[in-house]
Amino acid sequence: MSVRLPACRRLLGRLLLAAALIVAIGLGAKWLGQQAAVPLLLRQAAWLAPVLPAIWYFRLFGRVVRESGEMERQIYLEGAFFAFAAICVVSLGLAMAIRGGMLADVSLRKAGPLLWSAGITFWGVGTALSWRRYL
Amino acid sequence: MKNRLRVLRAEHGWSQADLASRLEVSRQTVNAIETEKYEPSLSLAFRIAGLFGQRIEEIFHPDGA
Repeated sequence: MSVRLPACRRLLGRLLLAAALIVAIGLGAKWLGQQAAVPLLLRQAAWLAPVLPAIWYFRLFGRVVRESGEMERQIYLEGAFFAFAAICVVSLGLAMAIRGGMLADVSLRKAGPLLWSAGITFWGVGTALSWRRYL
Repeated sequence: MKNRLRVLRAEHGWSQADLASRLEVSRQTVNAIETEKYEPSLSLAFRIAGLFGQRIEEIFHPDGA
């Protein structure tokens, strides 16, 4: 009896490739952005280039959720809600701490990648917590 | 929601993995339904009932019923 591999395993290679492309293109954009000899328009385009593999990454991520079994889909979505709630609470707390003068203000350039990484980490934590509830 | 999935599976001599592949779900899903930690969707409940040749209400019962 053949068993179809879970979507997360079937698409893992492509997810890793998309993540590697985000990092590689991001590093390439950083290098290109520092080359004064390169035309400004090209440098600006390079800075935006990592957005494309990021879109691919999240499209794949959505496909993993859609093509998973019904219980797994519920677990992934519970994990996503956990991540959304955690990011809201953390960003609200940080924003209020900045307004209260307890923390120095930070630009979106610095906070963005941190929140992005935290979102993925929180999703992993939320998914793990949700798995424990069902197993 | 109570269910008789474990009993029916044992009667057929199937492992959780066997049943999971017949239902096209993961083994963890079968385990979670048997231990009553997860309530299947209506479509999965129909697939389970069809596989065992029974009506849904013969397999799944509301708590206290």
